Amino acid sequence: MQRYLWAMLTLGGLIGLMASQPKVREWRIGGILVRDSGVVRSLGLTVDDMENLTYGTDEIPDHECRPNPYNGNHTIIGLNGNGDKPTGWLRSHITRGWINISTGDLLSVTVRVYDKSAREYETYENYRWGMQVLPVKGSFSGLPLGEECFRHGKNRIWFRLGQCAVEVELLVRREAEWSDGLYVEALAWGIKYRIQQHPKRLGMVQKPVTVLVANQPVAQGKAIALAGVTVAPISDLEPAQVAVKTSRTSKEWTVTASRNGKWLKVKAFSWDMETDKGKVKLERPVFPYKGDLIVPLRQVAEALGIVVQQKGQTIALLPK
Amino acid sequence: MKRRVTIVACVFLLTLANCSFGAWWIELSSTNPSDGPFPLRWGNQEPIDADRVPFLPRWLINGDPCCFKTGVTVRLSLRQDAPDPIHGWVVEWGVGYLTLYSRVTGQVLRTYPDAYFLTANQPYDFGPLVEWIEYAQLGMAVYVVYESGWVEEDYHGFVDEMFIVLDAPKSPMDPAWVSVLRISCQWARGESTSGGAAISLTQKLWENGNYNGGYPGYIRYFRDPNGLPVDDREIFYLKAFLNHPWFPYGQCNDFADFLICLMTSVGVPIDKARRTHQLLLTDDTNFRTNWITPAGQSPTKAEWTYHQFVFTDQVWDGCLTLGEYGNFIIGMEFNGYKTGLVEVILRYDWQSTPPSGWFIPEISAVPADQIPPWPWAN
Repeated sequence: MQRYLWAMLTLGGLIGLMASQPKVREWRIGGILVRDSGVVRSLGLTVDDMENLTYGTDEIPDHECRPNPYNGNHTIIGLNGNGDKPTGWLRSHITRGWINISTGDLLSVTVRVYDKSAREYETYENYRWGMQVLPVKGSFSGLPLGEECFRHGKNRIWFRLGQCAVEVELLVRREAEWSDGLYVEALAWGIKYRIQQHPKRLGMVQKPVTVLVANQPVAQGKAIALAGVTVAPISDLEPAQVAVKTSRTSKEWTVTASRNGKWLKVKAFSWDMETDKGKVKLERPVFPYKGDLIVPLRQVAEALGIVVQQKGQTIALLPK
Repeated sequence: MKRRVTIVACVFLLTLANCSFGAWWIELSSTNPSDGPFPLRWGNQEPIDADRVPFLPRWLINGDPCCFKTGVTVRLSLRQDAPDPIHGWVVEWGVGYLTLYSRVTGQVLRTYPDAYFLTANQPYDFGPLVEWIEYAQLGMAVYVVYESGWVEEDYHGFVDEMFIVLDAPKSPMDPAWVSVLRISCQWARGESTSGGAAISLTQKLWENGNYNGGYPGYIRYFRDPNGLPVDDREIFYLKAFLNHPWFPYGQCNDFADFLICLMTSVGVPIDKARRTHQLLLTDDTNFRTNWITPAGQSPTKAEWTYHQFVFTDQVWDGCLTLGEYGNFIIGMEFNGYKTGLVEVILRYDWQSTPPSGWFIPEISAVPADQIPPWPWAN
């Protein structure tokens, strides 16, 4: 009888042990489908970490995330892909799709994060073969985006930075009328900013930029150089007597900044700004980040009559 | 004390193993095995053995999906694996309110006669199912009578998903994926011939699809021991394709492979793909198209390194239509297709690729996070 009891308890223990083993998990959060394959290996990135690498569902004006009618998904997050095997590539990724509420055009951003430099896995040369349409090296604007970038057709851009490879694409219903490589590229610059800002250091190591207003640091950690041009949240100009007014609707996200009779207006994902002296082309596009618009600091400050002095990694804004 | 512990342990283990006493259920089969039910898989995971829908389909309440041939007679059988501890075995049963609904429109498609006073081992055959492809639901009410005389009645429920197809699903959809049948049986709904289903599925793929402009999607290639690409193989990551936020979305390979899955899932024997050029020659543009209208886009002319389409003795292509006004490629003769698609050869002319003329794509249920970096599967 006792032997029988032990056998039963051992069997129960074994079942319990099997149940406690880590398993590949798949779950859903609204329109977000998440899968974690990190049974053996993990990159240590969470769902929030991946969402921080792309735009929020309501962060792109005139666009919204609608679940696909067939599968219910607008976002796919894969954590620790191949992490159920002891060796080989290891990758987490996020793909999010938006739809333009005016035109029906589709917009998507994909970010793939690898266990080591993404160069080990994705290069321009990899994509120079086996595709129906060949990519063209370089960005739409001609600016150097990431360590390597290429464009594909009129509405897709790919770049690589640190551990990340990024694709931004716009699928237009009426290509001739709506093709806009620069818009797609503006989105891509915003993703580059997010990679560099990521707390888990997924981008390239950069020296921090210090911005001073009246000798006081502002925009701490948020001012960084994007291919040589410092960008920062526009609201960080407020200590320099700049009045900042945000207008955010489902159709448009603009910020108007004014100071001593000078004013300017910037718009999310635009490459220019309106000023009291007319339209000015920007060195880097405007994009949103955590409720603020990120702008090229020197151009915007100078348009408001602020003198900008830079010494090394320190930028001083001197209100006249 | 020991006895009590043993009893508690037994109950715990049985509960854990999801066992229960006295279960009965209704099993669906057909009088002719070649009419179904056809084996299915969910399309959720690899390997296939871990992914199969239970066979034969058991129905209790909202049971597993099942797949039958159009117009067949279905057999309902009562099954039981143990007597009820109080009331004993089921000795009699009956079924009523047998109704076939369309899951697409919600309409009643068929109602079937009731059957009462059946002995436990006496099956009930009802039919025929509809004569066309349908994504259906079967509703019914069942009563059973136990040895003790106890009656369980008004046991209403559904076979929630019943896929009605033209014939047994073919490779690479053998067994067919439930996730594919949910689409193919909607898109080809109402068709009663292979040709009609193939036309409907090709058109619906184009109407619902989003061509990605010729960028790597959900396929990967194979290389030989020398690292050179193999032309007669290709793996299609179908689950990842089905889950994309813009589904159906991809380049020509994805459209061709998915069209094969759609067709073969409903029993249409169109299962082969062909490329216009060897993979080794896809390092530069090979031809310019005439005016075409890619799925989800406006008319354009494109410069392509290659193109892939569905090919048996005719061409089926859900990725594009020919011309600015959209002529569907539904069973076109090969030379006419080439003439319609190609404006000018810029480098190498079309060639039979692979040399045998066709290949059947390999299908994978691994999700997007498990797809290896472009371009290799091995």
